[in-house]
Amino acid sequence: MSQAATPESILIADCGAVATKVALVDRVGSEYRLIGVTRTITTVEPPGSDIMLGVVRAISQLETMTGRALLNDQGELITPEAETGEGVDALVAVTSAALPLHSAVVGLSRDLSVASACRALASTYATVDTTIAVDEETGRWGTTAQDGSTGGPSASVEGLAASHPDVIVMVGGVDGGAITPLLELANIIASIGSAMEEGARPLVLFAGNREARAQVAERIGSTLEFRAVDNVLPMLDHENPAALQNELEAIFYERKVKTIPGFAKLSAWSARPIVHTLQSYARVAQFLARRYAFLVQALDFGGATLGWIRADAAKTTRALLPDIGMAYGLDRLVDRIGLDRLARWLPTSISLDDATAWWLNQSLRPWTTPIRPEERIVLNAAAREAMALGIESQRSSRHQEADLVLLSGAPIARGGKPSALLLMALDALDICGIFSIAADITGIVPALGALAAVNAEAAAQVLERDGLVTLGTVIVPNLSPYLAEGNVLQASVTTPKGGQIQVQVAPGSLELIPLGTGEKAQVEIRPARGVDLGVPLTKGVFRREIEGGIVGLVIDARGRPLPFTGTLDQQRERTQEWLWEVGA
Amino acid sequence: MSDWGPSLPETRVVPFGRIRRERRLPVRGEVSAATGGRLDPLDVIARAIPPRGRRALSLTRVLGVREADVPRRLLKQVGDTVEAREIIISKPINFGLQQLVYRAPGAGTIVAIKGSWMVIDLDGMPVDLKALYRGTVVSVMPRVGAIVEAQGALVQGVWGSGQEGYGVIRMVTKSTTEVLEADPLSVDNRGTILIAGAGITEEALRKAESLHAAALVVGSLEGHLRAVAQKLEMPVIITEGFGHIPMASPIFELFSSLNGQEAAVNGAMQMRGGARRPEVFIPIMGGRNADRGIARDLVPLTVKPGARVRVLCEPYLGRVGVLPKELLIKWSAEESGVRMPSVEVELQDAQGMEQVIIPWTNLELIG
Repeated sequence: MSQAATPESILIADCGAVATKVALVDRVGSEYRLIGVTRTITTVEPPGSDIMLGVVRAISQLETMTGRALLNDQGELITPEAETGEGVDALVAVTSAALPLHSAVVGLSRDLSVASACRALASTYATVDTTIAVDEETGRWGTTAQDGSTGGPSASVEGLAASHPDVIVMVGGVDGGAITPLLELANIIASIGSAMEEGARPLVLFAGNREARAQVAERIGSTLEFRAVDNVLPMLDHENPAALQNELEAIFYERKVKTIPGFAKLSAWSARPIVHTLQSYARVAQFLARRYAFLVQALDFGGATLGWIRADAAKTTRALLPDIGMAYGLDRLVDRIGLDRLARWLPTSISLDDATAWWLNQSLRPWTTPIRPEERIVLNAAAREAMALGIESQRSSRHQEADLVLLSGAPIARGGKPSALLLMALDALDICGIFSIAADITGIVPALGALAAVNAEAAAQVLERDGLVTLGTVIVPNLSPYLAEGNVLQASVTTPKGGQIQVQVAPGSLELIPLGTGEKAQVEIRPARGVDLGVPLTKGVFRREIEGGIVGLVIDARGRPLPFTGTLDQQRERTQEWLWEVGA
Repeated sequence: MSDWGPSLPETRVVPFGRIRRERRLPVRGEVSAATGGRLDPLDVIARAIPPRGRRALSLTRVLGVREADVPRRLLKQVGDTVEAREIIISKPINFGLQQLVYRAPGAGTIVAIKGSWMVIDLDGMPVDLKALYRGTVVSVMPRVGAIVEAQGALVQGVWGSGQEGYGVIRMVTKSTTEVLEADPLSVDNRGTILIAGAGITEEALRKAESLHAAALVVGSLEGHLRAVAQKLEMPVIITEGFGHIPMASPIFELFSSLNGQEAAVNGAMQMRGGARRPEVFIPIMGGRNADRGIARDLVPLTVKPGARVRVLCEPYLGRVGVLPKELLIKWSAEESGVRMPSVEVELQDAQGMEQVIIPWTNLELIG
């Protein structure tokens, strides 16, 4: 391959917080296929403390699996591919192994500038640990004289002083607005920053009234590293998050990604700059959204974070939810959610003590793989609540619609049963309508966005042929609280071979209709009064050709929110019934 | 083509070796230890005074002083120490007949003044950093701490409650599978490091604390006892995981062989951003243990035929065995139907001997 040519044989390395996966993609006949994928433990933490150890191990496993030499005797990547077939033309890498960027948002108005900044940060790799809004303080910054002699401090400012953010995002004021309140904010940040030990002081990123920039810089710049970007809220009715997001992304790469031990070498091996896994996954979702004119919701259950992407033909948004991991974060998830809430998703055959122990042990040894079916049920219970937390934090993004839901990450990589995965998504996602659910069974789909940067054709072909498996198509009607007694809907499914299945769907039920992968059936649905399918009807009937999946066609008439009533034991019995109904 | 050297994570259970440990103050302070100095576990090697709190307030707001006037009204400057109720700033009122003042809310140090904003660190209680490890100072980190080198036995745990303790090892269960009840505990256990097999009841856990045991090391802990353990003053370390899991035989046997010896328990742990494990260290002097030879630095364990491994998944969680003579990693189907690289392990521990197939990712080296 000449340097200018499109690489044909490519290694994809995905270095997560827990696992490092390496995949080999190459041309087989006239199309690109996934030749093999290997998985090993990520080695950024002691005793390894070098991300390359895991990458090289995974590549070595791939050599054993495929019989193809990829590394030379010195352990260096053989590139470009030799005529003998050794090596590859290129390697691309993504990573989510970096710790998140901790931030504090300080602004003038909770509902305006601070809210705009928080919305902008939700799509970055920064966590918002603290927020301060001037208009929330009791009238002014701190209280005035207490006990007639001494003044009181500001609790929220002291909260900021006690925290250790990497970045303080300072916002406030529309462009051309008043400057004085921002100078007060600048004094607060400068005083707190200078009280911190050198080396531990945060960077200040100013995204407020641009007219105040010079004076704010003057007050802060002598003490703390100061950067300024365009106002996140230049006018009251216009948000401008891009500049803030781009700068935070740059800071994240400088301070968190590039400091991953061994990152420089991985960068040297990579044909393109290494991007965050979620950024790459967003590209995949965007591709599917544009190609099929779909609204795509993509979830990535990482070892330490939950990634969430919403893409349609026009726009892609993403959110990274730290501390909602399926491995490192499981103990915190248990503490945050509470056992009673998690227990709802456990059938009565699994004791809560066993489940608790399993969640905690998984957080201690995140790389281990559950091998018993009940352990996967326990993992999926936590995944449901992680998704619910994700929905809660992204409420404003209207996640309750989709044509396609993509699932990637721990529950799938650990070999969850397809029907169990489908039910998990149905239980947790607050989506009504008709949509498909697909799973990333190879664990490499999020990284295909990086592959697209060097060979878009290969990425598209691998995604559709090897990457995704359709679990099924689901119909989730929205049930009115005033629903009349009787069935929710009548469905008639006519298969290509002429077979016909008639189903009367009762409220509260889950119906599984066999319709395999690639099979298409004519589906006719007559919803009862008070039942909304979320699609236009013709003379009260919905007709469409629908494709099946590994699990089949599922009609979920349980209603939203799910009917969890009665005692915990009754709820768990209901969970057991739902698992049985979809064959999980 | 490179040789695939399969790797596994490791847990160290070492009868005799040399370790180095960083001892760090929570905030910057003064280090009294000197390089080359010999240390007893309870020796204080550094001291710091972490602030009890950090007061941040606007002088403009509390006193009505204009920002431009703050410098000339201040009686104290950045870096100055102040006593409780000492006047920091004053402003004349009523034509200069009276002064409006702001007094220090407590003894502390003024650490920052910017514009009208001031930050005061209120003095807290001094914190002494103890050596914990009986050994020698090999390096001093000015204002931060020191690196101590020590020789002896080391056992790594999998979870720790965060505190530190020092005492004499006391085996309080007879087997790896026994759960410690409250009854056997008595005043004799004061200041001792309790070693129990499979677990401990909540009553026993609370009794151990009330008896002022120095620490507790146990195979496992029921999940609901995690929060209880975290609130205790004594450190708690578990060696296997949460649930009901017998202590691994090599760990139990090593502790049994060192029963009655002094040991240090460090319950601190961190999963990400510089991972570290909780541990028990039993100092062993060369002179007293001449038969052990010279203590050597710990080198990472390697995957090889016959290497000792511990199983990290049910139903064999915590069982110890050895890798086969011919290390053949094959794809095997699990109970759930998933196929994954697996290896045949010969389990050899107090619970018996048997051959089992275990997924490679669910093993770790131990030794």
